[in-house]
Amino acid sequence: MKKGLIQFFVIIFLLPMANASAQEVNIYSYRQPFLIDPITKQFTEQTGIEVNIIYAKKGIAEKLQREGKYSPADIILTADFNRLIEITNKGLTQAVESEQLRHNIPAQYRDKQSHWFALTTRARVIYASKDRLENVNDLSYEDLASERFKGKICIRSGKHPYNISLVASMIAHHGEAETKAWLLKVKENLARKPQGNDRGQVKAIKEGICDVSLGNSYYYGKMLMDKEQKPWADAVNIVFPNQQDRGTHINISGVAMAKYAPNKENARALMIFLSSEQAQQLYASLNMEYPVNPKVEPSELVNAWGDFKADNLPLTTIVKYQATAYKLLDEVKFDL
Amino acid sequence: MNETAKYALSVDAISINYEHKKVLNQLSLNVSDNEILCLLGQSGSGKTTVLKAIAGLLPLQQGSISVGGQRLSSVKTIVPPDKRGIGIIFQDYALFPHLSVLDNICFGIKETKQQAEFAAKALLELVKMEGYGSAFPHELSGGQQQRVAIARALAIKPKVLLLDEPFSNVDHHLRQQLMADIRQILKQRSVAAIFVTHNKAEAFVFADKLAFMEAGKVVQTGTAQSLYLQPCSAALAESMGEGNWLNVVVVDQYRTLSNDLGEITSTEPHGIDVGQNVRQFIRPNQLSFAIDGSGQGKMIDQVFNGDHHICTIVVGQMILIINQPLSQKISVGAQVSITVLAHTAMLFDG
Amino acid sequence: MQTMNQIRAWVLISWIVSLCLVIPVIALLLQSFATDTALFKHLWATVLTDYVINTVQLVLLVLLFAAIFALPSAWLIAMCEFRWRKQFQWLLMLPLAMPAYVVAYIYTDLFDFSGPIQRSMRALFQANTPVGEYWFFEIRHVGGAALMLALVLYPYLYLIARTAFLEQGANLFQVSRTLGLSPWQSFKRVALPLCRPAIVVGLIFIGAEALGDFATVHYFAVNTLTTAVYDSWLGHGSLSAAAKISMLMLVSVMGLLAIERWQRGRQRFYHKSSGHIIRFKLNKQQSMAAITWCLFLLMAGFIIPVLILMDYAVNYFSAGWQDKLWQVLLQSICLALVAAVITTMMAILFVYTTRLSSKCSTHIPLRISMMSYVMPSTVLAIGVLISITFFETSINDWLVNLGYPPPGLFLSGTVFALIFAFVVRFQAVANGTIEASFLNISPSLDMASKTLGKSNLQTLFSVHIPLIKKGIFTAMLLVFIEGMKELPAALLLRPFNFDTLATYVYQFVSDEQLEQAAVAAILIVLAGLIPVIRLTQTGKTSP
Repeated sequence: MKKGLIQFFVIIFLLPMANASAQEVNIYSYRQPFLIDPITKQFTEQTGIEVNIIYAKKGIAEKLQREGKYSPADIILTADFNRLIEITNKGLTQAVESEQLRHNIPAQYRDKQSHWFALTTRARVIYASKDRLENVNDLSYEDLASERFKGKICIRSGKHPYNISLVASMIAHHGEAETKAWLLKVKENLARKPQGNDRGQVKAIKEGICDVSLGNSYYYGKMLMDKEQKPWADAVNIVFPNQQDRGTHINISGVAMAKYAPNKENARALMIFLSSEQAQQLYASLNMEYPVNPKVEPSELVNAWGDFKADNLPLTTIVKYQATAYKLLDEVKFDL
Repeated sequence: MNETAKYALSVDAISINYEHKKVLNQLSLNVSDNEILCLLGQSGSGKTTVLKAIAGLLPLQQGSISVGGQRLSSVKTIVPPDKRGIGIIFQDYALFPHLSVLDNICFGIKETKQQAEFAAKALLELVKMEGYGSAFPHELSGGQQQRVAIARALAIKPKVLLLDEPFSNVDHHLRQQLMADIRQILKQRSVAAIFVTHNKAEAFVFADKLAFMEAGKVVQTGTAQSLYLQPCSAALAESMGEGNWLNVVVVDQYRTLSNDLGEITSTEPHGIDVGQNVRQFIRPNQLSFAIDGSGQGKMIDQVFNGDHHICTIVVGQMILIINQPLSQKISVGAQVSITVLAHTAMLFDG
Repeated sequence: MQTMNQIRAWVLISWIVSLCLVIPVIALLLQSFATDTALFKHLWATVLTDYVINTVQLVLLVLLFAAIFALPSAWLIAMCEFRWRKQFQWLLMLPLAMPAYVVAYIYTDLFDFSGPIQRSMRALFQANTPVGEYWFFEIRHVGGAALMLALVLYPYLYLIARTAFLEQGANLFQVSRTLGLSPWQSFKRVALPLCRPAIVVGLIFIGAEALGDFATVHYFAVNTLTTAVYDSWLGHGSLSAAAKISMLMLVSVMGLLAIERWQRGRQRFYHKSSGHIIRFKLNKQQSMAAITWCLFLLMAGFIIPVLILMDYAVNYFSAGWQDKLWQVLLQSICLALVAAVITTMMAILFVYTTRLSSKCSTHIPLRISMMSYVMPSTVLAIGVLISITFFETSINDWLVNLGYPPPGLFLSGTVFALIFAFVVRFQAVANGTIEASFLNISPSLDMASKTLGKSNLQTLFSVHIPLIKKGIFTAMLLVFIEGMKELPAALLLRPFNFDTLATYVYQFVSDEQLEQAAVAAILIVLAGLIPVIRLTQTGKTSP
């Protein structure tokens, strides 16, 4: 009886680590399982390399830092640019020199020192009510501060990385003072306190709480594919802002190799796989993102939204203003 | 003017069921003004239930309860405990542990704080607890807690005070003094009281009148003497003090015949039919014995009890307990003859 | 001399174990000493005041709501007789099995402007009422968040208060009645104050949960001090500021506790239970009111959320049901179970040590091991991470220096870290319960046992443990239920490919897709439900 119990516990607790000795690669991932699991499954099928994953939305950098040189992590996947740069700046990554990666990923989407690589891009778009708003094609982020949208804007927390990046890009373009004024006006225009996620804002437009919201582009496609959420998406137009000037703000998801990666070769193989046409296709079709690999087209649905002009502000510049963005958001009490 | 108005408290034929068991069964009792009634009875006879019913803590299934002629409890309506003006003191005193002595006493006084404290201090003095006002209950001895509980109950100027085994947690040597003190306080304040005990000694000292309960009923009420000497039931007879049981046959209005002791004559007619087989109860001080070489009895044990010896004597099949004056020098093993002293016979069925 | 040494051994072990448990807090304390004045200045100048106000509001409201929910129902169940009382006695515990963030999700979904209730209201009254044209309470508000938290946390207070009411006995209350106080006054002036220590304990648990909560308040867009903790850590990249804020939270709670203790002064609350409780028979209207009240709590805290979850589960069954859920379920149960057993054993160790000697030093392990409960769970998880990895890397370095191959992260890379974090976090829950049950054992039993030749250890096993079986069971169940729901520590510390039901569900909740994880959420509730029912069944043997 006792022996059986011990065996049971061993199986339950240690099974997940049982394949530790085989060919493997370990991922710390900020990105969600529904997206990563299908891709890594294909990778394992093709290479025989087992993939172990820890998902977490917070604290991965802290974990890596604390584990130091004994960390089992090989690869870090992030859902936004901020986190990617954070781990790079903290010296938790190493350079990966690979012809294939350079080939698959255009130069503006990877680090000059080869510490990080973008895998997908997505635009921070404006969702505008179909019924209540006309002439929305020329909208810009700056317009959100105008009288026109008094009490008409919905947005998620300003502190969310996606919004932080946007604010940082505003600072890069307009300077701190002007951005603060912009934030104050946007805040005044809010229909309700910042809350929920990007989809929730679209839902709010559908229900008539507000007329415009900010959101990542892929949510539009994902909502269209969900039976419950399709009516929300149907109620709005997707608008790529600032087409007349600098272009729409984009963010990236990316990958980096951990500084002390124990399975360097496997990690490298996985990174190359992630940038390959096969994996990029999955990113495009599963999550409606824009693949970085130029050979891969976005999904049909995404293509239907048309081409857009992206803000070509270097990602590193955005990161430079991130702390300032945080400060400004606190100063204007954006979320309060 | 109804019958109940004569009494400070009148309990009229009340019945109480608890979990389908009849705890009180048509129980009646009356307490006059300024009278202390002791409710005696074996444990489980329902004594505490009577107090709770009087305090309005239990509903009645039958009967009614009146105080000063005013009906407080009946089957239909019940004046809530806080509107009855009846004080109660529990066996464990139930002092509020989170309040100081003074706050405990002030608890029920519905006047300004200043007035309440003034009254409370007077009460503390009354119960000889001056200077303990700021103490907490857990810092007091049992007797002191008892006094505080009395003061607290008196603070609401109750018409009737109920005491549930009030002296059982007090040291023996303090008990006499405490009983005397409290009795004096009650008399001084003209409070009618009922107190519950299973200890007859307490009842004798403290009460004016005794009521004996058996199976949810009061079976006899009267002075201590009448209950001691003329108990109406075997259980009452036994709980008022020890005694000897004899099987006897009724000879006539005054006399009974015992196998071993011969004829016993009562000072009063006993009212039982001639020729009946009954049990006769004789207290140890209603018998005496003397050395008699041809006597049927033999002393087998002798215990010193302060003011007399308690002797065990075998007569035929029977063992008798008889009190022996200390002056009488008879020792264990002696052959004795037994005399029945003059008393009113206590006869009970089967 | 023999016994003195024995006692010393107990005290020593207690100290060592409890110090292990406070290591994470110490790690954070050290972390918080790092200077970060610029960031603090910035926070003070901007949002911190609002956060503090929100936090105080939130905690006070949660405590208020929880008291409103728990105390009357505890009183009704303990002291009154009405229909279905016996059933309600355990039914009222059920909300404990619901994770707060799940309830929050469900109710915001329900009461939001775009939720079904307001939608149908709009449909009912007027086709196209714009926003602000009619009044409806804003669910995403401090009040809403507090209500949700109170709804799932009140069972703690209910459980403790009900026991306390029962233990008071009837006499004190009855005396109060005969002294001229109405039932309500008696409740207010006698029954309630006497329960003060118990109520304070219950409120501390609830307050600590509310204070440390992030998932729920975040969902409700209420910015509290935990927001500041996250902002400082993740946004401003300053773990030390985050640790500092957490430490301030810890200190302020400790301060409040100290004030409460001091304010009690020489008062005692213990009254040897006496007076058989005869429950008030409620009349028809009163019974109806009591049943309605209990039913309301049960519906709001349990039945409605479960029904909605079931609705989600049916609608999204294909997405929600995955074979790996079985393994996740088993892992969650094992993890919670192991944590429950360990915390309870340690609680017994700590509490029993306090019985062996009245010296102050023997009580410290019991007290300090409870400290971490007041820390926000995520911060505590970081503390665990810091301390464990520090330990591991030191050992690795040492072995490498000696020329051995490094063993790697043998603790933080395995479930050990997770178990350790759970134990650190929930030790207070077990301590509280075990301490309470030990209090009911007269010290003369200890002496009797020892004079009969039993050692301390033998006494513990032959006298105490049989007597506090129920307390042991309760402690284990409470920790188990908490463990099933625990989120932040699990998120940060789980090893590769390891999921608990809570992390699984949260992945979807954080993405506002609870529907997809409804099946898993129901499993959490079910796993918590069975012990809750058992918990109250064992409670039945008490008066």
